[in-house]
Parts: sequence; structure tokens; C-alpha cells
Amino acid sequence: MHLLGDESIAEDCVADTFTRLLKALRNNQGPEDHLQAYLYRIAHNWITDSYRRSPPTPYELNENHRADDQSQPEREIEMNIRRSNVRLALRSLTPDQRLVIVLRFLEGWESSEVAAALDKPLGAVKALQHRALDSLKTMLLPDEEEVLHE
Amino acid sequence: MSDIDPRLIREIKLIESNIPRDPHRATLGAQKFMSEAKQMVENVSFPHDRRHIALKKQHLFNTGFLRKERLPMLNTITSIIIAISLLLGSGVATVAASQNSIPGDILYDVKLASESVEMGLTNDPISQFLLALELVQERADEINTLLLEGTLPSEAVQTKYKAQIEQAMSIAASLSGDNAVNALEHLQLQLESEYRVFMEVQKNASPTSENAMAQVRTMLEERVRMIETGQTNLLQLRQQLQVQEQLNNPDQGQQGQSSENGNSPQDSTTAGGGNPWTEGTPTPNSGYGPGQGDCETTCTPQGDGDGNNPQTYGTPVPNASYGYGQWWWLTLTPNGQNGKR
Repeated sequence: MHLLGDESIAEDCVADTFTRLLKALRNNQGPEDHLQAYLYRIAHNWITDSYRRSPPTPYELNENHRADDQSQPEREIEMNIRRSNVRLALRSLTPDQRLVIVLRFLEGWESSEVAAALDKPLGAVKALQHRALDSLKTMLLPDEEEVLHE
Repeated sequence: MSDIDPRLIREIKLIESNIPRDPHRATLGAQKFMSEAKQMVENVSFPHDRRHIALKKQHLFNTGFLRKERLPMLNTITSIIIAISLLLGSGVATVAASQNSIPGDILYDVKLASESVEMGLTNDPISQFLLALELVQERADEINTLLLEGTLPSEAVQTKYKAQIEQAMSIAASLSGDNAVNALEHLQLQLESEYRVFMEVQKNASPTSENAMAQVRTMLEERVRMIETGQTNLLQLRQQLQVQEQLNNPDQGQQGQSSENGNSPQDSTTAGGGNPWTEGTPTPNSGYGPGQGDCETTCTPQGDGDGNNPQTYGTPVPNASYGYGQWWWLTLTPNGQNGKR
């Protein structure tokens, strides 16, 4: 849901993920440990495939944004644009970088847990995280980069 | 993480979903998962030769029957439990807790479903038999727990126990040669042990449970006789199980009529009146069959074979230990001491 931003597509992803798990279990190719991480990887591969299948859609304004007394349509639109930008930025990362960012900052895993789940050394995970954050910073906080260069 | 720009983290966390997953969708997802699991089991023939443990287990019975191999991967049931709990959006503990549930508990259906999927996902026939044995023991333990809690084991509970035993018998009978005989012998020992435990538990249970437990004991006696026969005549046991299967699935054959006429567990419990545990088909020389009454295929042999049961006059198979009420294993003490073993 974080990366897809669409509830029905996220449900499709979950369904396919668990179907793939069943097939793997059936063929005795299930996870040796870290089932949850295994499922994340399947889901993440599914998302990466879906990225390849469909190009990113630009955020569009529509007439359904509410304009009642309680809401602030302009703020709601701004937030939606920022969320869309974050998803686009994550999409531009490598699959491993994206998975590290999702597990670390959206799922709240510790670096050591991510390392164990991905079967990578802790240092490799930190390097992935470092490079991913650098890229994201360039894409999501461009103003500061410009200020620094000036 | 201290040197990470907090503004960047805030930006990333914008896509953090604060909306909990729709519980209805989660439940539908879990149901679909279970359904797919079962469907997959039915549609896909299992690849014996692909399992690396299959070769190791070919001589399992010669090397210690119950030395169940520890799989190098996550235990299948563990995977299923975690998967279901993830799908339901609940903690793993919720589904794991179902493994201790008993009939009548809310989570009991989850337990049965996870067992069913685990059985379906078990490829190797010997592993299937070992699992079936565990499940037979599980059903027996549930009945004992109910008895000790003062709850009468319902017909449905008894039927599940019977079905579990028959599943174990079928799997055992489908094994090859010595493996089948050894498996049947082991199943027999387990059923005898369960019988003795039932007798012990019954002493402390409510007297009202006596009828229900009498049915269970009768069912056990019949199954043990079938197993004894099967150890000397495997083909005969397979035929019996085949007929039993048809009786249990009346839609697949004309035996359905007898089910509708009094063989369902809800019906009477006396011989000749449709005792649900005595619907076994009288295969020649099986040592059991119709007794007194007007039933032809549904009764427990009565008395000591006074002529109304021609099936019991057949030549007994040597060492089969069956006959006219000669339940040698009923004399076993709780410590398992008897003259035979």
C-alpha cells in the first residue's frame, strides 16, 4: 500500500504474494527462515514488475476534492502531490535500495533485522540505505541541494 | 540513523498508511488463501522424486519409525500459521493459539483448516502417515479434554475422530509392502493406547457421557479389527476402506441411501438401528458384519456369533487376534502389560 498507493492493487499484490508462497511450499522451495521477509520480497518483486508493466501516472487534479468548511482542499492536494513524489522517488531506486527503505523507515525494522531478512551483511544494508537516502534527498529535498551549491 | 535528515524521513513517512486494512477484505483474503491452498492440493500431483527427504525415508520404518526428519526449511504449519495471521491482519499468536483449541472454541475451525492445508502440502506418503497419526492423537486428546471438562463429545466430534482414523488407515494401506504393515501395526498400537486412556478418563467423566463413549469404543474396536486384518491381508483392507469411503460419501454411490436411512451420526445408536460407528461393510473374512436386527450392512456383531453373522465363521487369519468378541487388547492394563506384547 505504501508503494502502490491504491487499495485494490495492494489487495491484488497480497493475494498474488500468498499464492506464490503456497506454490513455493508445494515445491518445497519455501523460506528457510524469516517468512515475513520472504513475503516482503515476493510482494516487492510483484511491485517492481508492476512498475515495469505500467508507467508512472502523473498526479491529476480532479473535481472530487471536497471543499467543505472542515477540509482545506489546497493542503489536501499539496499532500497528495508530495506523496506521489515520494512514490515516484522510491520507484527510481534499485529494488534492494527500495526494500531497505521500506523495511527500515515504513515498517520500522532495525538494520540488523533487515540484514538477516535479506541475507546480506549489516554493512551492505547500511551502504544500500546510505545510497538510497542520498538519491531520495536529491529528489525530494532539491531546494536544500540548490542552496548548498549556491 | 542520527545523521539522517529528519525532513527526509518525514517526507518518506508521508506514504506511511495510517488506515488499517479493511477487516472484511482481510478475511476474504484469508479465505481465498485457504481455498487456493486446498485447490492446489487437489489439482497438483505431488512430486515424490523431487523431495530430497523421500529417498532418506524409504527405509524409515527399518531405522526407527518415529524418527521424523527435521525439515531444513520453516515447518510448513508454521508458515501457514504465520501466513494466515498476516492475511487476517492479526498477530501470529491468534492463529497459533488455535492449535490448542478444542471443539466448540471459536478458533477450532482455524485449527482444522490449518491441519487440512498442512496435510495437503505434505508430499511424502510416510510424512503424511506420521502427520495423520498426530492428528488421530489430537482428536483423541480433544475428546478427553471435553470429557474432563464435563462436556459431552458431540456426534460431530466423534465423526471427526473416526474420519481421522480412517484417513490414517487409508494412508497406511496405500504404503508399499512392509511399510504398510508397520504403519498399520503402529496405528493399531496407538488406537489401543487411546482406547485405554478413554477408559481411564471415563472413570472421572460424567456418567451421561457413557453412551457417547460407548460408541467411540465400538468404533475403535471395529477399526482395530480392520487394521489387524489388514496386516495379514492388505488387499482386503484396501477394499474395505474403498467401500467405507463410498459409504462416507453417499453422493458417489448408491450407498447414500443407507446413510439417509439411519447411518448418520444423528441417528440411533443401537445395533440394527443405524449405529453410526458400525456401518462398516462386511467384507468376507473380515471378522465383522451384520449382527442381529434387520440391518444388512450397518450393524455391530452381537453376542458371540450365534449364527446370525456368517461373516464371523470364516477362517480366522492366523494371529489376527479377532473373533467373537475376543478383544484381546481390551485386557491391556493402563501400563500396556498383556500377554501379547
